[in-house]
Amino acid sequence: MKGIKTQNIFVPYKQDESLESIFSKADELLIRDKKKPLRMVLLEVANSKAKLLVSFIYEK
Amino acid sequence: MKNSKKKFIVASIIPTGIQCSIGGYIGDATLVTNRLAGVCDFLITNPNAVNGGAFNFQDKNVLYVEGYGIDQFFRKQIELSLPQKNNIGVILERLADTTAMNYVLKSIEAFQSVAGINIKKVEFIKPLKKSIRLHDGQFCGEVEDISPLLAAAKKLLKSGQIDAIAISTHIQVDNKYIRQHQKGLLPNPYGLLEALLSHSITDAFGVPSAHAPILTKKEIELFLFRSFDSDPRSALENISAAYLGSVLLGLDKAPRLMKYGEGEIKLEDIKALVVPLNCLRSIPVAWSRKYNIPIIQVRENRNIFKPLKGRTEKNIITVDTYDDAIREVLRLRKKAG
Repeated sequence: MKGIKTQNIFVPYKQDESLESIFSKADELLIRDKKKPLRMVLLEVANSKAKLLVSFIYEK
Repeated sequence: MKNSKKKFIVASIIPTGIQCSIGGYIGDATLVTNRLAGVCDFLITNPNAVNGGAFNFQDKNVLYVEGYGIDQFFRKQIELSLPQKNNIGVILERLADTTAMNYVLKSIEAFQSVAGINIKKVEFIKPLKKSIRLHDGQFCGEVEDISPLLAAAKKLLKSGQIDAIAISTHIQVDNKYIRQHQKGLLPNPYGLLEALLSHSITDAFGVPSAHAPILTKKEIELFLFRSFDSDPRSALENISAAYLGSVLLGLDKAPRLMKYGEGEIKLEDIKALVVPLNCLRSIPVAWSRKYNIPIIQVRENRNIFKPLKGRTEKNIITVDTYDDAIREVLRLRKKAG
């Protein structure tokens, strides 16, 4: 069974890091959790962390 | 016209669910989208910009591409075909509410026989278990099991006659959220969940796809007969009993999603990306920066996003209005020769 959802995730962030690099980190994090990343948007950066809203497919 | 090499193509993205002052309702970004398209050969946009309930008034050179498809395009994972007439398959949730079902089925008949949309087949599925929640001013969503949706899409595509898939399902939204949205106090509560459903199809099958909510009899009454104090930008909701029409009109000539290297429209053809204020945080923006595609952000299109603290956004063209964005696009066009 496959589900799809959106949720917030956090990845480490360096000052003025490129968006592409932030998204790559989010991709890696989701894949590591056995989730297939789809879309993502950066919501904010604070305390060396980037907060993203991501949508992904997961297996149940 | 087989090649887009000499074409001047721009992308304009108006995200759903972030309460954009232009494009935060249904179809209310159509005017600015068409005006931008007026100075391009083609303008790529996401369904949210032009879906207007039962209607879709996008101009012929507007290319209707599902959001995840746009992301894949900017990441150079796919390319696009030039627009061509599509055969459409429809996936419908079968609801017990006969009024709702009748309106959706009548939409299909109407758009087939009046607008000439090629609707080849309809697949019915049981209602999917979906949920939305409000978190930090933004709606999040979940569909617990997309297998029935994927199975229906597979069945449609197996016939070899389908180029694009329209999905129409019921999304249960608390009336208080709907009323707050109609009064301009909350983002569109449907958008994000709708996007999840179309992403599923685009991801699994690589075909153009878009979703339209099915309204129950109760919701039709609420939208059509008890919401006349709503914001004028949501007025299409007051005259739409079924939303499938906008999606059918959008998918009718939506570009097909081609394997990378096989499309007629490539990322190199994109001459600018236009986004609302503070929307410099998405995949298309990230890859536009990587490939030096000019990014134009439009101040008049305010939304819930604030500037990203702790980041310096360089090489962004900021303009006040969409009229200014058009002037900027014209300048880029002149420069491109």
